[in-house]
Amino acid sequence: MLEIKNLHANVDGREILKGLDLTLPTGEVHAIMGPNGSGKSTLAYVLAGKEDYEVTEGSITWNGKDLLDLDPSARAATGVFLAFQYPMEIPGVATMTFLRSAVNAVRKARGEDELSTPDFMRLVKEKAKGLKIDAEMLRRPLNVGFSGGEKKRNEILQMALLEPSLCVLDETDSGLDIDALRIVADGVNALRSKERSMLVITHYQRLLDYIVPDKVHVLSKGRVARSGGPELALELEKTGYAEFGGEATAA
Amino acid sequence: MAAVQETVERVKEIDVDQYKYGFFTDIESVKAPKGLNEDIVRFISAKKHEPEWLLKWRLEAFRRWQTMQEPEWANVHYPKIDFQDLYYYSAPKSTEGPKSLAEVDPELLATYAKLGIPLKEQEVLAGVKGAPRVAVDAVFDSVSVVTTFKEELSKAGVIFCSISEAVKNHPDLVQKYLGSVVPATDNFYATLNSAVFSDGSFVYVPEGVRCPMELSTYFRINAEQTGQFERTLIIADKGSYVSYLEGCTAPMRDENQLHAAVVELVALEDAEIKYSTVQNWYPGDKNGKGGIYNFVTKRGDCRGDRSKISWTQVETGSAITWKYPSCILRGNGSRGEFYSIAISNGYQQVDSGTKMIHLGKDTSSRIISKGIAAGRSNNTYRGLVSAHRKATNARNFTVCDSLLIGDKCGAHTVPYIEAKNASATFEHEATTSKISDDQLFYCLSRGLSEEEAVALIVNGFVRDVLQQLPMEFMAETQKLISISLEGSVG
Amino acid sequence: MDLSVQQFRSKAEQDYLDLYTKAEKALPGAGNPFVAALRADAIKAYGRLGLPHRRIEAWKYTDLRARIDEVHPLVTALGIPVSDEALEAALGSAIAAFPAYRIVIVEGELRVDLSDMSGLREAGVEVSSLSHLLEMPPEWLKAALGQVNPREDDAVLALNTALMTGGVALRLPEGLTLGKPIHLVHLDGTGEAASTFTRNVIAAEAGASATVLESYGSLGMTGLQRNAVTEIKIGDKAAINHIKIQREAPETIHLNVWLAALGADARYNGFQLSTGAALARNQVYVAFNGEGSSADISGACLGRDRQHCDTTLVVEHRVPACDSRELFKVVLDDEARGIFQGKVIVSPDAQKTDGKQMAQALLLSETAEFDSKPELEIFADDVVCGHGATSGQIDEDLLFYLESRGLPEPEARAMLIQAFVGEAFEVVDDEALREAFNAASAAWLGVEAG
Repeated sequence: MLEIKNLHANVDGREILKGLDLTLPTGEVHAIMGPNGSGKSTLAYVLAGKEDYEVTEGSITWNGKDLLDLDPSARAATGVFLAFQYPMEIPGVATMTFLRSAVNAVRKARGEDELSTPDFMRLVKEKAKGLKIDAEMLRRPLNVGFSGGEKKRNEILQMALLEPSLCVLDETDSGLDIDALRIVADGVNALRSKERSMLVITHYQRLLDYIVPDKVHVLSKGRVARSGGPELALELEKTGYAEFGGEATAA
Repeated sequence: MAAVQETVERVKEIDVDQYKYGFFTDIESVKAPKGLNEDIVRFISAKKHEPEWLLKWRLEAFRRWQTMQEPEWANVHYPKIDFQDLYYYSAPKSTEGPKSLAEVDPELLATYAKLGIPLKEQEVLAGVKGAPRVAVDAVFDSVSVVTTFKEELSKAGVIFCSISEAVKNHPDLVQKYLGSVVPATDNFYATLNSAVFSDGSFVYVPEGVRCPMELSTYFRINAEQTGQFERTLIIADKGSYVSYLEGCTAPMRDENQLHAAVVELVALEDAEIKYSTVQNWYPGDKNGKGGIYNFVTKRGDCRGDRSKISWTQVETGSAITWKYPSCILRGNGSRGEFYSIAISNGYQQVDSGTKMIHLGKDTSSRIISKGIAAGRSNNTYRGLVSAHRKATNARNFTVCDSLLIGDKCGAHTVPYIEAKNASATFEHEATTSKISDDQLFYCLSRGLSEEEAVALIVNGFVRDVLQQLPMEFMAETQKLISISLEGSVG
Repeated sequence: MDLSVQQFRSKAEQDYLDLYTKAEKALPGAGNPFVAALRADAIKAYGRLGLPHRRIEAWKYTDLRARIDEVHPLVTALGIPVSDEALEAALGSAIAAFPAYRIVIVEGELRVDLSDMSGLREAGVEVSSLSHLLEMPPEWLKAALGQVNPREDDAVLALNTALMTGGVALRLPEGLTLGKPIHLVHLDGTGEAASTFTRNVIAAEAGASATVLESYGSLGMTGLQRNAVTEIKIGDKAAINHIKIQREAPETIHLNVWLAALGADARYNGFQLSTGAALARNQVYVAFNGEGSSADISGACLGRDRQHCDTTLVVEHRVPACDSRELFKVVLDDEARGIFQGKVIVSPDAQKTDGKQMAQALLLSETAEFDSKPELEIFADDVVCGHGATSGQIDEDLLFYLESRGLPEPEARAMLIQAFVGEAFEVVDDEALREAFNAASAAWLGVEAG
């Protein structure tokens, strides 16, 4: 279970999260919605432990463990996974090399044996297939020259390989056309399980047609302003974020 | 390809010297005897009724200068200058020292009118609605002849006058800041200037004041065999802002004339100085005869935290340009900018660029340089970006692009980039190319003539820099660029 | 420019002149008028130029006059036994085991006992010790020695010509395609602190193609002063891969000059990896003398402690329609200093030139320093030329991305540094060499090769 209590966080000295409370039980999928600037992406980075995101007050625990004590790689080992809104391009690092280093680093930290090369190849091939990722893409440098859709699929592949228990998806739908969105959503749905919790951050309701959440929270000015069932997302689609301090345009 | 070839042919056919400002004003002037020695330095100082400390300062500079050698590292070539064969002081007889507008010799007013420089306040004020209101200091050979809008500026607390006047009326400010950015011993030409500087502008913007109008100095070299050694000093006190523009022209003469100016800018805490230059000294004729040697030292000191100095230059004139407007980013969080358009044609030689010296923490700088070489000219960008040990988080971004028009010219890029600090992030990019055939073809296929197309493309090439000019001068400058280009391109 | 400054000779500057005076009569080829004249001209040129110092523009960032206090005597320890283990330790296992025709030069002396040239002569390559050929240089050597892209203004080169004692002369006859690379191993430091002046001359005739690897290592820890020059003449349609790896002992001064000239439709791929020496100055001069040719000169320098690594490059496009590419990567830790100077010159006739250059530095410590001076000197209009230079530290966003995938920070850092350097290795065609370079950079970082 993820428990966020009274979370305050600064970016460049400016307070973005202002006392956020959130509980995500194990096995559930919650959506985080909200207008631009409400603190959605900040929450994602704070969960993953980005350095410039300074937590000034409050706590985050994952299954009783204090996440704020851990550096980003330790959080990954504990089971936290952030699917980035803008995945990084790293020239010179082959995607395959990167995936293998990450999988083995996490396995090592969890006290598991490193995968042998053939086992790893098999695993990647299996997971990549569903996401329509071919061998050629895996040979390319990490995310370099990838289309928007390829980058997002690559994120979900990493998620599948690292087998996290807490998935944070930051605007995974941004920049995707409808076909790519479906592939990505299918990939995410395939990973839904009783042991795994997911936080799906999105500006638009559209993604939630494909990844149906158990609960929806609306962020406004760095706090959860309202929570409800999936119907809340549909309501927001009609009314827009005006009442939450956003533009009055319907999504 | 054929179109480009044709354009290039036209460049060759048309005379370079469609110089619009080449006339000479026949006016009686007072000159110091030719040559340079301590007596001349004393003569200049006496003419200006200077205090003892300034004469001493000049003489020290002169003694130092005698031990110095002319720099040879720049990519410019010219016969040795005989420094004893020049006049170091020349002033219109009728205007010994600045006077009120009513007293200015009508001949001089006519000269400036011909140059398109508005000196009559009432005319400026009575002009078309929305016309720019610009205060002008007009420097004719060695003296300032008039400064406009002085009263209105003084209401805001802004001091804008000739440096000779400032020495008289604001000696404390001058003594405090003169030579504090460009020391008297800085380099050969700056030291020469320190010894014999004649006139130039002085600006002081007090704390918290946003200067209510653009300030401008218009330099004119008129007399023969005369060097112009102007000295400009601008101080922006805490939290103030000033935008300043200088323009320069000279008559067409067969001889080369020396212009060795020094400009010092001081920006204190949170102050901002925007300094723009439209340099259109006589470039010489199509055979490379005559023209101004423009050997100038310009430097700004971002002395206070969060201060900002921005240099914008449009260099179209002079036979030889040797000029590196620089920023010393001393204050934490200070920022320096250099935007340059340098167009060379005929036998012009340009060696220009900037230095961004990062000393303070979190300092940033930006350099955008656009060089256009045509005819048989050589156009060199030379720049230094350096971050010192303590300049943590220094940032620089540099783009310098060169465009070649014709196959007899040269474009050169010589950047020095020195990072003595791991947290400094420097990015430098340079390209050299000709006008793209594809772009040209595209324009032609849309019905533009070749010269229109070239002008359009060149304008696009320099746009990033043009945008940095004060609004009031943008259109004027665009015209100047198109004159330089139209006169050369076709 | 300032001849007055040259009036005073530093001790080291004079030492070099004395070295020549003392050795003159005993140098290889002393009895040959051609060689003797070459040497005499060179020492005269050196006398005029003096030891480079920071007031000489090309040496602004590397002041030899300040760095060399005295010059060590010419190396004399010849015939020293070198074990396989010592050779491997000096070069690293991957390079030592690199499958190639191996020619080992110890203290300037070509060591047949350590070399493996079997099949090289049979393949058609003329190979000789340079010192041997200098006694009576054949015509092809006369046409190459000191004639490939000659430089009037280079004191290091002049000293080498005056004092060259060893090295290899290679002639690749017309049309020869050499399947296996040639590996020139340069080992020094067996005895007392010494100076060596080695010279390799490679003449690739029309249509020949080969890969030549030069490796430089130290057998001991003495203060070696190395001056090594390679001249490489690339005939029409010839294709040469020229690679260097330098991992010398920490107190070494490594002065290196490559002179390359290309004929028409020729190809030259140069690459240099430097991790060793206290001071390394790598000068590469490339000239295009025939149309339709291309050159790719790349490299990487990894420096730490107080190492000083300078790469200075001059590429001259003298004829139309040639392409040049340069990519240099510099990683600096501790108080190391890296320098990159790259000048691309396009002559008035060299239309349709395509020249691009990039130098990038990654600074790992607050006290590291990187100076770069990428220069363009262009006299032709129908060209596409550009250069870029960047300097900075590891991108924190990339680091976070890797860490968020479970890689501990040191590993993530190492991965990014290796990726940064690795981009330059892409230029090297030979996969075994690329892997050897990856291993070398991994070893430098203290991690396993990725």
